[in-house]
Amino acid sequence: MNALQSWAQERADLVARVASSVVCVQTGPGRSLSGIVWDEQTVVTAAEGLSGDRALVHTRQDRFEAEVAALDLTTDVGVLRVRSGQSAPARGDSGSLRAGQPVVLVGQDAGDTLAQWADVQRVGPAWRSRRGGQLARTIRFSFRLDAALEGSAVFDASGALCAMAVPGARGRAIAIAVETLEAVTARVAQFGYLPQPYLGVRLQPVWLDEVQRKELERERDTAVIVTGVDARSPAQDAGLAFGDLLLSLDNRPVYSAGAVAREIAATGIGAVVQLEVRRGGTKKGFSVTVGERPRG
Amino acid sequence: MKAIAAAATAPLRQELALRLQAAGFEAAQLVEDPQALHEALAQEARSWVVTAGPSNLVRPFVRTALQARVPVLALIEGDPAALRGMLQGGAAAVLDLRASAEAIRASSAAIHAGLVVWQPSAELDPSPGAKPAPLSPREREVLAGVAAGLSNKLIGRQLALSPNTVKFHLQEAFDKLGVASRAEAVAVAMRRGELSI
Repeated sequence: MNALQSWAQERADLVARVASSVVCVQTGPGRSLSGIVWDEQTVVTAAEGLSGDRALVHTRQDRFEAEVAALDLTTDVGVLRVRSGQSAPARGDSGSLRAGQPVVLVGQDAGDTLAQWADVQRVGPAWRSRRGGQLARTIRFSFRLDAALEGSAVFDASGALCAMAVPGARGRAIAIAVETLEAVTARVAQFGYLPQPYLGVRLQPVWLDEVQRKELERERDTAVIVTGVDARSPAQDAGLAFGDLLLSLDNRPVYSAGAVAREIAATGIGAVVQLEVRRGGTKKGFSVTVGERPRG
Repeated sequence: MKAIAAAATAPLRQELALRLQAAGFEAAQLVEDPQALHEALAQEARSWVVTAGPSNLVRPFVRTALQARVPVLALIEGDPAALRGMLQGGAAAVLDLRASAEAIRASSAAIHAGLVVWQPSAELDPSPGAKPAPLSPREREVLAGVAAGLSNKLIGRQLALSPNTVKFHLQEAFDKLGVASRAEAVAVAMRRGELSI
């Protein structure tokens, strides 16, 4: 066997070795993504791919009903509770990944193993997602992610799990570092669910005209207004009220409700944030302790 | 490509068959509910879907077709606004129920090429998301449960609804928000002031 043949064979052998640690997660008729066996009762997959609160997990031999235990809206990590009977892959360290390093994305679709070798295009430091999630490392690829490979496992050449592949901006493949998967699953294991940071305000955008913009010393012509304060919420405890114009959060100007959602999602439960509002012509400051979103 | 005609009532199915014929297509099958459509699509490898009726009756058929990644043409009676959020990521045409045979033929060609067609009309605003439909109080309650990480079963228990009813309200909310996942629904609802942060 020549070098090329043995190289080709080793690539396929590696995929075959790790294939039993990935599953197919079926979310509806004709819709499925991939998932990674995490431990004997957990599968992790892409939160964005989950439309319902249940899914069918297919291993190569069998299929199992899975319950969605937690969706981390901020990191795109979904945790499924399922006894798949498969063993978890060896975990590596995403810190060992380097730009240009070949890795393999392994997923599953209807009993068939899916595999795609790819060079890591970019490796960078921790970053914050557009939803406010803390991602342990930047890992990007140069191609669009196939839908069936959403939630697939990223293995290095030793067969160690380094990350999970998900679609990033414009469908481009990015990967969530194994350290982030560990952080999310550890929290779910601790609480049985994922506690969600919560203020208890509903916000809507408002547009300021030039006079208002100047008077409020705003750089942009948008702001958000409080259109609701939940009963028994941190926002109510702090004294926020309907009609307050929210100007800043922790001394950074606020221009959209999405930005507030992102900031709060990135803030831990128990942290104190400073909100500055305009009420009846005067500015007021409030300290709000971020709480946990009530579960009923 | 075989056309599958889907409509909830017998008069609509009859109307649909006639309209298809006038446009030069033949309906290979007539189905009356989304489950039957789902099964028909599973059997027919190469097919497309034509449906007709008011938005609320047409919506489940459009959803089934889009989920199966099959082109779908909807002839709408009344206001099609409720379909607006659904059309992302699929080949779909939304026409008025009185659309001409020529418009139906042209739209068929367009959706088979993977395009989205929205028939301009005086009472319609064709820009997607320009006037987002507000969520109902029930949809907001259900979404708050989703945001807290509850399953449909637990949400149902708290609101005294069956899990299927929860699922129904959630799907309605997904359509109004133009999203396909629980995660996206929560994010969009927060951004629009429909869900507290």
